Amino acid sequence: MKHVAKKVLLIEDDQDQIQLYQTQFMLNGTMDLLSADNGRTGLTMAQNNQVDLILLDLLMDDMGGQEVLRRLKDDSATKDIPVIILTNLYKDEVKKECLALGAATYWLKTEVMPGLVLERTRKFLYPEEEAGDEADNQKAGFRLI
Amino acid sequence: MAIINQITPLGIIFIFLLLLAVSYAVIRYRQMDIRVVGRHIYLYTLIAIFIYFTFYLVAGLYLRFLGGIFTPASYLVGVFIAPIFVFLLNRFYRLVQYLANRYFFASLYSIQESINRLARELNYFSDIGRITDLTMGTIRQTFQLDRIGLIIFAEFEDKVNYRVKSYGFKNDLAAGTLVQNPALLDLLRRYRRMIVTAEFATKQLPVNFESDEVAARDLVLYLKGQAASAAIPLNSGQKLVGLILLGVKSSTDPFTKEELNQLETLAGPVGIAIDNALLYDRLNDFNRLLSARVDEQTVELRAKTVHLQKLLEMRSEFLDVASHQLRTPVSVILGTISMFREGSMSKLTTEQQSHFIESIYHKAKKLELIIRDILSASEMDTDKFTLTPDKLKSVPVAEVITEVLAGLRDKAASKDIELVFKPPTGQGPKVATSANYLEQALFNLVDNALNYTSAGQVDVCLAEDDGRVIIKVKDTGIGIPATDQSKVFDKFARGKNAVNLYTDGSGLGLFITKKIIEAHPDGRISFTSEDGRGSTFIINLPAA
Repeated sequence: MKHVAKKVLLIEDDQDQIQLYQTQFMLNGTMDLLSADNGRTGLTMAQNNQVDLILLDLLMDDMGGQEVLRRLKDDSATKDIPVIILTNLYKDEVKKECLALGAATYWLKTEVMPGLVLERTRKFLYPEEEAGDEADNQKAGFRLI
Repeated sequence: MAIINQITPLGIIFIFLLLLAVSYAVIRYRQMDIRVVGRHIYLYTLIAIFIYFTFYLVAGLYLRFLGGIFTPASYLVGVFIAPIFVFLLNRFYRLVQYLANRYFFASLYSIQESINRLARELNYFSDIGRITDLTMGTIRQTFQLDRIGLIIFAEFEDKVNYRVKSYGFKNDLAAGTLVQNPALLDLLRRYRRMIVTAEFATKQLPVNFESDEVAARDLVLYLKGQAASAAIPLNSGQKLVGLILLGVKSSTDPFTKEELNQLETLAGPVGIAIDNALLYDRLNDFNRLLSARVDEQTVELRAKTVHLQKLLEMRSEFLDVASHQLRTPVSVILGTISMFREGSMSKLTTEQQSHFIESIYHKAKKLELIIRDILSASEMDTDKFTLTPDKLKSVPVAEVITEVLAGLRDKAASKDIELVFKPPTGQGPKVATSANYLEQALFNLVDNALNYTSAGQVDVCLAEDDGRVIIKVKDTGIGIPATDQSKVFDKFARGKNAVNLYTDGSGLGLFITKKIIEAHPDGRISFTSEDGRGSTFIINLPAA
């Protein structure tokens, strides 16, 4: 079954990582991965591109991920876009803070590999596909945390 | 009646004897106060009258009702009369005494009362000032003295200190001369009696005082020098605690025997009270010292706790950031490799694949540098990190710079930044350093300059000036905003304007560099920077 391609926005300041995720999404592609290499650009892109999901890094120089998340949730145009935190910062307080700010979930880059990021993102955006897909059901362990 | 006649001559004899005794007393003790004598005559005469009266009364009654004084019935009644008489006599004596004190010899009575009251009150005070004031005030007022002085001797660790209080005397009572005369102090300590200046010189001292003749003479000289009419040594146990000096009564009368006795009696409680007060003072001083110490320690302990807490907080913050810095390259390495394992990468061209391999290679190298920095930083993050002379060797700085630049040429070239260094002719200046540490410090500075410069050049200058070697690393990068300049050398500090430029370093480079340079004897590091124009870091070390 063919889908309408959904748009995922990656807000991440490390070029190497952007390239990595872009390759992953491009090679297995039902979704478009847009990227912004800083928080401000990310916010503008989220407002202008009708994105379906945002993958958000936390430690960025100009504007931290928490601030980006707060602004996304404050803006009526972006507040309904699900935001997944994708970071190397593992700190319970930060995780709680992000979830309280409205993040859908919190992934650690060293635990959730690019392949898994893609798979989970797809299941998040196309939940109806899962019911009919036996192979995917076996990987139910990869459901959103 | 015959018996009465028999007794009367006996009474006359007694009266005669009484007069004789009084006369002797007046002659023997030239200080005898006639009022005291009068009081005694009054008392004893009245009591004698009472006894006579009772006797005649009882004798009369016996004769009338019992037929004589020496009849058996008289003896029998006498058994009952005797206790009644004793009771009445006692009552009468008190009444007479009361009347005497109240109406005839009020001043005498008040002396005794005051002295007794003073002795009682001394028990309530432990404050040396109150005790001396009370004692001096009472004695002065009671005896109407023009002057009174009190010296307190406080023996402490073989040294006699003194305090002086005086009313009317010269202020210090020349107490210093007393303290310097141990023989005199010893005499006072043993004599324990009132010393009347006019008499003491001629007084027959007890045998054991004969050797103290000089001391006695000194004492009289001293008392005369102070114009003191008498002195009372104050003792507590075997200890001499003070000396009261008395002036002259306003009546200019000499002290009576009675008064001397009263004053001598008083010396006991006053001496003990002063001794107690001195002990109490010492105890208080000790307590104060102790509590001051405790306070001091408490403050110190609190400061240490705060410091430790801060260290712990810093440590946990360090771990948080350090673990993030470590995970960043690891996540890229792991992510890339996982894509190779899953086969995604095989869909790419060989060229694209080698690009990713190159990327993980660099991330792994970076990881290694971050690990090195974190280890260095924790080694240097103590006040104890210094380069001791045994670790220092004379090193030509130009060689170290050349080596560092060689390692960074590729990086500079890839960013199209010119790396400039003009080596000196010959070996150039040397510094006493540990080559590895200096290399690390310089590497961090040049690497940092490259990271935050997108175009232009990074310039390294080496110069020697007035016994100092100066190394400058100058870039044309983004510079450091004024607001961030104070934090440049902090761990994980990064300028607010360092957007997107370089976030996967350890964040420890400048911190480590500063630690290394300042670990050198008299090593200094500073920088100048202009937002948007570039920065210059300056290392300043003594030439070797």
